[in-house]
Amino acid sequence: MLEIKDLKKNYGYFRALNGLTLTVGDGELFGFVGANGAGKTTTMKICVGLLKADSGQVIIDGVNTLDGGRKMRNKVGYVPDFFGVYENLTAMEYLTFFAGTYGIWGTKSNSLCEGLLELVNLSDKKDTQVDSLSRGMKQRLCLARALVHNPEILFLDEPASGLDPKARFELKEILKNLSGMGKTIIISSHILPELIEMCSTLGIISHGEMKFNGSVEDAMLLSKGKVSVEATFAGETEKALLLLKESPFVTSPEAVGNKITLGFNGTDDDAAGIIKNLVMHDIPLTGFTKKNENVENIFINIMEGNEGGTAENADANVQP
Amino acid sequence: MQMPTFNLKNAVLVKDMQVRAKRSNLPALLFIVNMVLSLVATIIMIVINARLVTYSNNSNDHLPWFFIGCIIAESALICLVIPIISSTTIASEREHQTLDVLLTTSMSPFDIVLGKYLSCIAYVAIMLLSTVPALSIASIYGSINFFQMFSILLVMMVMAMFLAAFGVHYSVSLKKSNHAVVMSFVMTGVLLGSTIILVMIAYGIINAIEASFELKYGYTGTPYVTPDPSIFLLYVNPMCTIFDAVGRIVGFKFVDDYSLHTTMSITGMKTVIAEVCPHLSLDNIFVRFWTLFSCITQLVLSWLLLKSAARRLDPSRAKIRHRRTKNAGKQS
Ligand SMILES: Nc1ncnc2c1ncn2[C@@H]1O[C@H](COP(=O)(O)OP(=O)(O)OP(=O)(O)O)[C@@H](O)[C@H]1O
Ligand SMILES: [Mg+2]
Repeated sequence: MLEIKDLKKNYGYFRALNGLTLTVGDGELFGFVGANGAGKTTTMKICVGLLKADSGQVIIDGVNTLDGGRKMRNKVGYVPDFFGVYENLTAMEYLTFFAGTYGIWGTKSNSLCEGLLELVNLSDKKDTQVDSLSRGMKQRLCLARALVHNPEILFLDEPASGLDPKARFELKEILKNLSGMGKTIIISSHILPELIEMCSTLGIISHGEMKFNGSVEDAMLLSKGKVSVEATFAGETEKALLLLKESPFVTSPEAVGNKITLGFNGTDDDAAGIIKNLVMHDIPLTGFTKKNENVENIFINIMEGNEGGTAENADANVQP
Repeated sequence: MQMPTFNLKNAVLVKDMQVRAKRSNLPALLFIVNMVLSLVATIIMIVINARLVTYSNNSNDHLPWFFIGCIIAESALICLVIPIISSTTIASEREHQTLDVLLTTSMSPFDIVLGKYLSCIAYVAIMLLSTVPALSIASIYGSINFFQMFSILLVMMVMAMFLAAFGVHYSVSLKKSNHAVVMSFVMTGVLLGSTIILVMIAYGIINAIEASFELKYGYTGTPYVTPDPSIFLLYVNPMCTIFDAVGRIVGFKFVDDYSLHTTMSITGMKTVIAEVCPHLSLDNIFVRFWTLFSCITQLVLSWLLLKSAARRLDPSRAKIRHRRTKNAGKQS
């Protein structure tokens, strides 16, 4: 169980984390979502002891781990967003080295490393030089590396970036597998639909603060009623725009040609009301399409915080 | 059951040795080192032959020069090799983005620093061992026995360990490996050269003070201030240690007659050096056991340097970042 409480981190005068609070339960697959520069990597580095927080607590299994120490390092595994591999080492030697860093040597280390290579489907690359592996393979090797000491919590910083769909699928399967084995996994990513598919809980971070922390279902619920709508007209688009602007459920309508895109945060009845209103004013409405499947948009709204009305509402809903 | 193996084996050391062994530059280095020694021996032989022709001197006095020449050449090679290999250790991990991962493992920062350090030392030890055959022949000619030769090898190891500690230290504190290499070379130069100059300056200043005291209060027979303690600054000069160790084996008389002094006198330092050189006041115990005490000093300093490097590497202390933050605060 990982608990982060009121974590603060400044880089010089830049506040990267501003009272970040977050809880991840045992065995959860936690998706950590945020825009570039939101503070995901910073948070993870603090959790694995690579950065010192200015204040706050990181509690793993009830123990505050911010002082670092070997005990804490034995509990967490970390796959950084950028990582190098050593030249002149084979995949097997690479893993053996890291087993050695945890004091595992000899036959025990051999069987462990072979098992891990199998787990990440790299058994056939056992004797390949690490620097000649493809990006996806390196990623998987690094995942295996993070598992040599059988950690309770795994931190993966954008593990899917730079991978092709097949490699991503493989990675996802491996992660689900690991999650099934009872490991707590924290994944940061930009690719939201994938996270939603895979994760049990989500955390959304923006400007160093958590905007949302809860189950994926809750996140989906939260996104209900905040949809973008595309309405098409056979004419009189300007008149329609004026009418739409009057509606309290419509935000930032924009006309492009005979198409109007708008943010909509009402119920289905409200939508029907708007359509009825348009038709009553003799406006030739030809289409009215809701796009609430587009999770990306919703999350962008949440992440961007207080830009635009929709997002403001979202903020109000999200605050715990 | 596992704990003893863990304590004995350092994964970073094992890995670095593995990588070094795989790279082709180790045989190349051994070859170059031995070539240099052969070259030095050849040159000495040519010089001796020429002298024999000129002076028809049949004594064997000059034969230790084979040994001395090899030691000087080997020490010079250590001064060249150690800063390069030691200062790239941690910095290159950082550049390859492998350092972060290493820091999250169960190895403490000190284990990592020590592993890196020992891998450099092992590299130099292999280099020194490879010169044993050549050095043995040179020793036989100079009537130097095995234990004397071995003791000089040990002193050179201490020199390598001392210089490597600086290299590793800079490797941690400077972000780029080429900066670290430059700084280690500068530091090597400071240790070998500037310490002598500093002692000379100290002698000059303190002697001047003494002279002014004598003018003012009169000459009493015992000096008011003595510059002698400043000589112990040279404890950190590995070249002085080697000079002392070699001098003890082949005889200072020899070293004075044939040329360490002559070499120095070319630079016009002869008189001052004569005052500064360790063997000139042999009655002091710290001077009599110069080699031993300076080796201990250097090893202790190396240990402290490694400790401070480990401290800097430790992210949970974050010393560097804090300092930077403070500076940023002051500027604006
Ligand atoms: N070493 C550093 N020095 C100064 N500022 C930093 C440093 N590292 C990160 N930052 C700043 O802290 C903020 C958070 O960075 P962080 O790397 O945690 O973001 P992120 O969420 O991981 O982004 P990305 O998705 O791009 O990886 C950024 O604005 C970044 O500019
Ligand atoms: Mg990041």
